[in-house]
Parts: sequence; C-alpha cells; structure tokens
Amino acid sequence: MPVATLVRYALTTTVEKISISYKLRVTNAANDFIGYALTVANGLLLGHAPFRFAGFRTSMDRGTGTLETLTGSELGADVSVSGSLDGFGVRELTFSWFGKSRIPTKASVLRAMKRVTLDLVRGVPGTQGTRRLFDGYLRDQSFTAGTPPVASITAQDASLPHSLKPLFYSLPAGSAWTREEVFLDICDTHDIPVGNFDVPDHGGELRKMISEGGDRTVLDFFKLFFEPVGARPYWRNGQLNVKKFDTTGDAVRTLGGGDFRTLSVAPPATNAPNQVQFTASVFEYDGPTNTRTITDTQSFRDTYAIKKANVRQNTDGSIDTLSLTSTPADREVRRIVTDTTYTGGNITRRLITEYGWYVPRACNRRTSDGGATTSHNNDFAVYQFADGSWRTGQEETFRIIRTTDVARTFTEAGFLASEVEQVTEYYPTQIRVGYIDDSTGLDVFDSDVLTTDSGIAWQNGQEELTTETNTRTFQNGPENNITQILTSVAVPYTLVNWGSAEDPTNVGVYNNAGAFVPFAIQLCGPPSARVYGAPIEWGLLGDEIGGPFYYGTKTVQFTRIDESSHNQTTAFQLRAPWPHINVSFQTAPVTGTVLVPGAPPTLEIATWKQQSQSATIVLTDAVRVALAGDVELPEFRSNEFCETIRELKTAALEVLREYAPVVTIEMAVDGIIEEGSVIAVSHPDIAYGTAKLLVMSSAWSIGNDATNSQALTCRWYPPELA
Amino acid sequence: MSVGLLKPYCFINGTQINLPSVFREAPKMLQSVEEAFNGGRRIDAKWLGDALPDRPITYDWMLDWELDSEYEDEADFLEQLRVTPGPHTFVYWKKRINLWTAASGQTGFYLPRPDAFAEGYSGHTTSEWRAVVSLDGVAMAEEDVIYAESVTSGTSVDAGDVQISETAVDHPDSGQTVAFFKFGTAPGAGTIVTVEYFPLYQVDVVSLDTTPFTGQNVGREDKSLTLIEVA
Repeated sequence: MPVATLVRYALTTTVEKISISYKLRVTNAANDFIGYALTVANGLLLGHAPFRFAGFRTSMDRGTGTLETLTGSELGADVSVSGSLDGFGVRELTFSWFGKSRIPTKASVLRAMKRVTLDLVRGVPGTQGTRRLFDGYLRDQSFTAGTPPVASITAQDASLPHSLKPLFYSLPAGSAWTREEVFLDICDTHDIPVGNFDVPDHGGELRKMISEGGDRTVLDFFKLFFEPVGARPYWRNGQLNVKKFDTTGDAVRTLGGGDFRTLSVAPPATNAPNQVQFTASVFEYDGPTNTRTITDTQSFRDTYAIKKANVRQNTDGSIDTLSLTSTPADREVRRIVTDTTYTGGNITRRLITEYGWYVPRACNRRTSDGGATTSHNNDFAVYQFADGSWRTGQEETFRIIRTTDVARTFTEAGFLASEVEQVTEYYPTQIRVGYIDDSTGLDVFDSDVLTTDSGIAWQNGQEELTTETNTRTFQNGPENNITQILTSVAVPYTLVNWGSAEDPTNVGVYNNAGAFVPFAIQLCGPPSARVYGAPIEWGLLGDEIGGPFYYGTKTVQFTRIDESSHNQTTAFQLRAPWPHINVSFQTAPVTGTVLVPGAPPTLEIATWKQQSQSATIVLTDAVRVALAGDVELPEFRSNEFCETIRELKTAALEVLREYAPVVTIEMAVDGIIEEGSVIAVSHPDIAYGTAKLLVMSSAWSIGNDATNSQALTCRWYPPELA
Repeated sequence: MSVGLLKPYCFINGTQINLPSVFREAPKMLQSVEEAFNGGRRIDAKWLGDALPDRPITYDWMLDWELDSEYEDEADFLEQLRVTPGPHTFVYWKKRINLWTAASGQTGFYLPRPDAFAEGYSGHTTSEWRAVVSLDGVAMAEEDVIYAESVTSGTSVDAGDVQISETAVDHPDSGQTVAFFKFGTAPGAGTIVTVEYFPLYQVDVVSLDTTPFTGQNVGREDKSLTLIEVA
C-alpha cells in the first residue's frame, strides 16, 4: 500500500504567487517518485503594504505529547530564527520563556528534547498568513531565577535527533546506484525522514564503493556526498531534503529600494584564491545517462611511392599503355582513428577506422546476352597494375581500407551480454568477369556475387568494402557456469584452394539467399588463350577467391568443478558448409572437453571495475586572475566521493563560487525569502539592471513593538561563475 | 464616542474611588516604523493573536492624588493597593473604540479587554453603558447586541445578532484577558467592525510615590500612582 507524504502549505490569500515544485514520494518496493508541480498563492508577500502585521506563534510539547501554543504572556518579546545552507542546512530558534516552573531542577520538560514549532505571521488587517519558519526540538536552555524568572531556550530543527548519528553503511563497488537511491537507503536505515530530492540525473551514478564504519555522522557524510554534484542537504518541515541551489531559477521576489533597509556588497579579497585545483580519484566515464565518445587518432608516416597503373582498358576494349611515374616521398601511409563510446560507464562501442593507400579492384571483362558472349568491360575503363590486377582507378588514393566496429550490450546488472564485431575491409581478390550460368543469370555488374553473410564483395563490377560480422553472446548459468557462444567465427578458416576441374558441375558458391549456385565453369588457360563464351571463365585454377568466407558457431562452456578447477568444453558447427569445394584450413578447431585449473573465467566485463585514477581539475576564474594582475592564487581541495571528471568540475566550480561577492541585505521580515531562495535586486544604485542573488543564510528576528528584521547573506555569481 | 470622562470616579478591583485632579493616560502603540533604503516608511504592527483588533495598543496611567485628612479612605485604599499583587481590574468611564477588518467568513472576534458593562457596576447598567457595535460605520440596533454569560466559537448566534461574552478568557495566542464576541452573520471580507465600549483593564501598580512631608504640608499626603496594563 503506497504511503504518500503530503505537502502542506499554509495559505490564506492570493496577493502574489509562488511556484513550488514538490515530489510526492510513494513508498513501495520500487521506491518510486512521482513528480508534480504546484502553483500556490502565498499570503505573506505583503511587503508593499504601508501597514502590516509581524508576529509569530510558538508551540511546544509541554510534556503532554502534543503541541500547545506558548502564549505571548509566557514568552519574551524577542524571538529569532536563523538558517543556513552551510553545514547540513539546519535552522535554530531562540526565545525566552517566563515562569518559575521553567527551572529544570523542578521541571524535566526543559531537559527533554521536546518538539517546538514557530510560525511566522505576516499580513495586513483582515488578511494574515502563516508560514512555518521552524520545526524542531529543544536543545539548550538556561534558567535564570531573576525577576521575572526566565528560561532562555535554543532549539534546533528536525536535524537535532539525527545530527550525531554515526553512519554505518556499505555499498559494493560498481553498484550503479544513484545518489538518490543511496540517500533514500541511508535515510531509511537510519530513520531519517525524507522530503524532496531535487538534483539532476538523480544525483549521478556511483561506481565507487562506500564503506562507512561510524567515523562520521550521517549528516556530515551527506554534505560531502553531494558536494560533487553541487547539491546541499537542508532541513525543512521536519524532513531532510537535497537540492542543487543556483541562480538559474526564477526569483521568488524582486526587491526594490523600498523593500530593504540596507544592502552591502563585499567582493572577495584581492588575494583570495582565484583558482581551484580539485583532486579526486575518478573514472574516465561521464555518468549514467551521458554518452561520451572519445576519438583517438594515430598517424604513421613513411617513404612511400603511390602505386599506379601500367595500362588502361577503355570501354571499347582497346588497351592504352600508360606512362605514369611514381616517386617515393614522405607521406602519411597509415592512419588509425579509434572512436570509443562510453555509456553509463561502459564501453558500448569502439569503431576503429584504418586508412591506407588503395584503389579497388574491378572486372575487366563481362558477359552479355545471358552469357552468350563474353567481352570486355564496356561500362567503365579499368586499369591494370603491375601485379596484374585490374583496378577502378589509375592510382591509389588515401582511403578507408578497413573498419572494425565493436558494439556491446550489457545486462541491467551491468554485465556484458553480447559483443558484435563487424569488420569491413577489402579482400584483395580478383574477379575477372562475372557471370554465373544459372537460371537467374547473376551478373557481377548487376547483382551480388561472392558475398559474405552480410556484405557485398563486388557490385557493379567493382570491388567494395566487405563486412564480416562476428557475434559473441554470453549466458551466465548457475553456480558460476558460463556459456560463451561465438557465431560467425571466420578467422580460423580460410579457403586457400577451390574448384574441381574434374567435376565442374558440382562446384559453385552460395549466394546471398543461401542457395547453392553451381558454377558452369570452364577453366581456361592463360588470358591469351581463353575462350569466351559458355561455359565462361570464372577464374583460374589456383586463384584465391579470398576469404574468410566460412562461418561457424563455436560454443565454449565453462563448467565449475570446484574452486580450483573447471571443465572447458568446446564445440564447433560450420554454418554454411561447402561440401562440393575442396577446402583446406589454416587451422583446425579444437573441440571436446579439457580440464582447466582455476575457477571458471569471469566473462562479464564490468568496466566500472576499472581502477579509478587520480585526476585534478584546474578551474580558474580568469576575470579575477586578470584583476589580480595575472597572478593565479590556487586553492587545493579534494573529495573522495567524486566519480567522474564532470563531478570534479562541478565540485571545483562550487569552490570558486565560495569566493563570489557576498551581498548582505537587511530588510523587514517578509515570510517569503529563506535560505536557498533566488532573489532579484533592482535598484540603479546597486546594479545595472536586475541582479539575481542566491540566499545562503537568513536570520529572522522579531522583537518588542513589532520591530523585525530579516538579514540575508547572499552570493552574487558574476557571469563567469553563473 | 464620548468626549472626556463621563464620571469623575473609577473602579479599581470593584471599589469606587474618585479620580484625582490629575489623571493621565498614555496609550502605547505596539508598532515600529520601518524605514526603507529609498526613504520610504511603513508601519509594522505587532501581531498579538487571531481576531484581535487591527491596531494593538496598550495603556499606562498616572493618577496624582492630593490627599488630606478628609481622604483617609482613599489613602487607605491606595496603601492596600500598593501591597497587593496584581493584576487588578481597572475601569474608568471613558469609551474606547476598537476596530477590526473582518476576514472572509470571520464571525468571531476578541475584545482586547472585557466589557465593563458586563460587570454590572453600580450605576452603569443602563443602555447608555452598553457597547455599540458598528459595521462599516453603521451601528447595529441595541437589541441586536446581546450580552451572554459565555460566548465561544461554537455558540449559535441568530442571524443579524452579535453576542458579547460576559466571561473573560485568556486569548489562545497572546494570553491576554479578552472577551469573545460573535456575529450570527459573517460581516464579510473587508468589513470594518468597530466596537465602542468601556474596557475593563487588567493593571498592576508600578509605583505609588508619596511626596515628601514638609512643614507647610503637614496633614497632607500626596500620592502618585502609576498603573500599567498587564496581560
């Protein structure tokens, strides 16, 4: 049964509006959140009224277990509340309580952690609103038996019962938990009431382990824990909240010259740090939802002569001798570009692109009329190089000659589930003329010929990049038994001879559709003696038609025996056997079961188990460096909870923001502005236009005869820090 | 609204005593002046509790008696007052006016001091001593202003009537001694509610100075009594 934490806001009027975004926490097995936004009318923003009320209502548990109002007759005239985003965001309340019964030697109530609340009352005649400024517990009190007898009381918000709780918590490395999940888990296990969690990306994912044995308090931990994402814990309405405070949001109130008494601005000292060097041990990935691609380029140079053709066969079949010169020169001969994509901390793709000097091959002949005659390539001119091959161009160009594209998928737990490798390259095999004399009349100029399972080797009479696909999938069985399945295993099996001169009717290839296409083939003599016509020339005996063209499925099963040994069983199945072709293999597969020492290998590739490495971000406030006469004044910080480079940057920026100008405003209590609020100040004496400020701390006081004050300590982020 | 004191005497703790020749009252407005950066000024009034008058005011008094042997009763009374801890009830016959701005749906209000008419002081039980309740300046008929022994928020009041409680209570917020009154029909948001009445103040003695006895003043004992309003 989901239990909702309801949000209540005391309102009585519709003078001005304030937008509030709350999250409704639904407690169930999934610990989900449902976000919703409210726009509510706030009845306290009456700062422009010429006559207004200022007061408060204080309630306390006098020992009955329920909150009871402390009347004005019991209380001293002065009451103050202060709150700050520093530390772990606590508020304090101080007040005086008159009466002889307040002496703690006679009354235990003042020695107990009794609940106290304070509601600010603000408004105009006929319209008053309340806002809870404080909800906490008695902390310190001193009783003076004077005239009148009075107890001076300091209370602390709901953080008080939790402020000294030691943190006992552990989280294994590579948990992939978000900070929000950890926050909720810790609060749950330490009985801390939870309010809102308002941090982008749920606070980011964790790969580091957490091992807290009580050496620090829960709240101290949270302060450090959220520093890398620029968020702060704070207490409100009896609950612990977390939020990333900044000045990007709308101002809750714009203050004009009639809204405050004094305003002071204190820029940082000229010798205050203007550079932060933030060091932490981080991983190289960027976070859970952030996909990052890193490109690495390696270039190799050498003395190389570009290969060029000796002759050209024109489309009319005539042959021209070429006199192209090729001069050795220092040039780039190889380039390898590696694009590595990280997603959620895992390498999900790696694309290796290799460049080299090459010109694709081409058919110099073709058949026509269904193979009735065989003639020259009349589609385009082809060029013959010194090695006898025919090419599509007269000289090599620097081009992509091979790509290797590895894509990985991972299970929800982060283990490697599959790996697909696609290798695309030129296979330097010459098809001199394309015609297969079957009923479909395949023609290399029009259709796919000699294809692999997914690529096209030749099309339209030209050699093309051919793709090979190798797939590896992993199945994790019980008790650490693992099955590794490799499909499209191509590398170990290479055709080095083909054809059967004795029985040409049983020789052929498989086409793209997987159908066996027998060759109607006549092996011919040297080119000068070849006979064109049916049966046609396909190739010469001993020609390598390239490879790899054989595919199979290899299954390797690792079966755990005990801690010190396991069986490794290998099986192999050719996917597309070529029974009619004499083949020979460079290597033979090893099958069967062998006993292997050691535990089954760990096939999961959990990249978060990589070792984090120390990194330092240097963040410089260039403006202040310039103002300091180009002198860099570094400050050195570290935080063990930084996970990524980005978090390191965020943490460093927050340090620089600590040196942003401090703006202090003294004004009447308005009941709107509090620590964490964004406010705007608009006055020509203060800023060119409207200046937005982040309120870091606020102190409210209400005294005798309604004297009241709200002192705001704000930070103004200059453009370079905003 | 009456001008000046209607009677030359007052009641302290129910005892009638003639007012001295010098009777000063010092109203103190519980408010502060808020001065803004641009020189603008506003009034911040102290909020004392729900349903109390718009403007919180408290009072001090100074009563200077010139007593001789003909005023032994007064002298005795004042000496008794000096040694008796407060609070004391204090009423003098000068009408006060309190003003409220009604909130939407509001029917209940607090007189900041109990109504002295409800105490039934001798000679002050006729209609001229009753409270006059007005809504936006229009006085309600006398028969519609009803004194009841006890009026609370749960009391049923006929439409068009207002009931004033004769029983003083402590205000739940301020703790001050107040009297509740309730309309049968809510005046409506923004309606100005005024009550003219003779308050029964809760006071205590701050000082009771006696002038020095000098030769020419043998047989005289001038006393200066300072009272302050207390909760």
